[in-house]
Amino acid sequence: MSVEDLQALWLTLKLATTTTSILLVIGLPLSWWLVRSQSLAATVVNVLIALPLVLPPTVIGFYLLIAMGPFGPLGALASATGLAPLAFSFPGLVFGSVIYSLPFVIQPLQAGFASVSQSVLDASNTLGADSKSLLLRVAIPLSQRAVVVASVLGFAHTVGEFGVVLMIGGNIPGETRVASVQIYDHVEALDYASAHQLSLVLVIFSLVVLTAVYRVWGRGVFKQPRHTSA
Amino acid sequence: MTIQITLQQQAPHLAPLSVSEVLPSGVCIGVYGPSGSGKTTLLRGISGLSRISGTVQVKDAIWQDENHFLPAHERRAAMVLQSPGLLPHRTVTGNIEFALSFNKRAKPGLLDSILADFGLLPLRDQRADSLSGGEQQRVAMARALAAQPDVLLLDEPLTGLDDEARQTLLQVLMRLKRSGTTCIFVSHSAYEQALLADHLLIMNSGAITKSGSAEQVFAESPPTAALGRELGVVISDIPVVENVDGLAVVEKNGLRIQLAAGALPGSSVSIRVRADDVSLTDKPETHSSIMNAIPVTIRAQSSYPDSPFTLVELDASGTTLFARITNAASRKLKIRAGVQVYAQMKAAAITSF
Repeated sequence: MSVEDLQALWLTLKLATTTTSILLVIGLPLSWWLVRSQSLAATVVNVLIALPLVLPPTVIGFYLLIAMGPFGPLGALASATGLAPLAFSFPGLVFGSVIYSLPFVIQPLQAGFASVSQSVLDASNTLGADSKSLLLRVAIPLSQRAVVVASVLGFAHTVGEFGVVLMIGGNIPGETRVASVQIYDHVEALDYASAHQLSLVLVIFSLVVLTAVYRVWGRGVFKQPRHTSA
Repeated sequence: MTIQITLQQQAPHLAPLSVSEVLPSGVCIGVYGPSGSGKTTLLRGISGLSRISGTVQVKDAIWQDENHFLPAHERRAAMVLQSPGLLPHRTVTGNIEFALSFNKRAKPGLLDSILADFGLLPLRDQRADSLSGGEQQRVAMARALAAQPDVLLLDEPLTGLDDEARQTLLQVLMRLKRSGTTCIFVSHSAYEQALLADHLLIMNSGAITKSGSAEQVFAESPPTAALGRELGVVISDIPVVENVDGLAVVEKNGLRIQLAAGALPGSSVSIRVRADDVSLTDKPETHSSIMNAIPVTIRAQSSYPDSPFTLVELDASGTTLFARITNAASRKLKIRAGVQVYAQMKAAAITSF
């Protein structure tokens, strides 16, 4: 495997890890709010988050590229604050990945939080737990399985991302050229042997990660605590 | 020191509520009524779990009025629901520590004294989800008290428990009541209200139809209504004349009743005789565990439509008693006004307060 291939794999891991961490930091409070709020704003936010599920990745990538460009709001913000432009950069990739993978993290978290018994939340609330304490000390501990599923889905979806990355990241070695793009390049160059090698690495990696998760799960480490019956 | 509650809710799809009450503190306030009468809505409004417009003032603290609304976690009102709502992944100790972590007034040692008070020391390291329903509810009450609330809100905490667990928890609640904890106890069981309520509210269709001292409300309730039928009659302030091994004898105007109570001679008690606990016989049995066989005259009888029961009104030396018997038993004994029979009551069935 070439240095470029290893670089692409390393970049993919870095992107997926960074994206997943950010997704959890944003996703946990956001899902909590979405589950508890009945406002119109929550519905609108839910729809916006779900958009990447139905739109082609190229459409998301296209609009993100426009937004990050010199005349887009994100590009303008970057130049106004003196920060490096987001387009064709690693931070830009992270931004795009967060948007694109958000529904894969939000939806399992919402399902997990919604299944936490209302009586547990009500009783804890009257004992003095505010919304933040309810999230951190009641909802998350009672939704461990959902948090694991959300993290794995967010990570795997970022590793498997192609369209958005290509649109907003371009193809800069060591900066934005992730494994999926590298495989595409190999295929374009009719270098099927290299494409096979890198694809196999991704297949094995995915199998190992998923097997590990299911094994750990099966042993009950992430066993969902039983909710007290109503 | 009082609790003032004025809450109004009138909107489609919401349970109606229209309440305006000033209640005593330091006592157990019973809220009684059929399901759907607004009992739970009232508790949720007081706790702040539901946002219902109006004012709630507990002692000096205003929890809500036209301009302010304290959220549930800032009100010193801990709630115990029908479902215990424990943190299932935590131990008994962990659940109580959870409540203590929000209680800034908690003194060191409170955890151990609460565990001991509620008989939870042997269970302290067990996970909440490994406990029986009755044990979970006991932990839920202990946990609520760890918050040292100004008002303890109890929403049907004994409903759905088996008889033994219910009796154990009733003892716990009766001890609470004696300790002067202000609690609002919602239950559709007249039996539970009879044992626990000092002040009783009767609710119907979201409104309070009766409010007063429990004794007064019970006494006014017609025995044909569900409440009276279960509760029977209250005889107030009867002097205790004897007490041997916990069997007290009370006597008033020639009416002599034996009951299981610790009250000593020289004191007075009020007793409640439930209509369901009174049986009738034409001659008293001498070899029986039933300690009371009181000569009575039948004053009237009424049977319920579509019901196999007859309610018999009795004159016991001038005091009214009620017996609920089957129609078949009424025919067998040839019950009719003016007939003299004996009213039998187990000493253990009579409650005193």
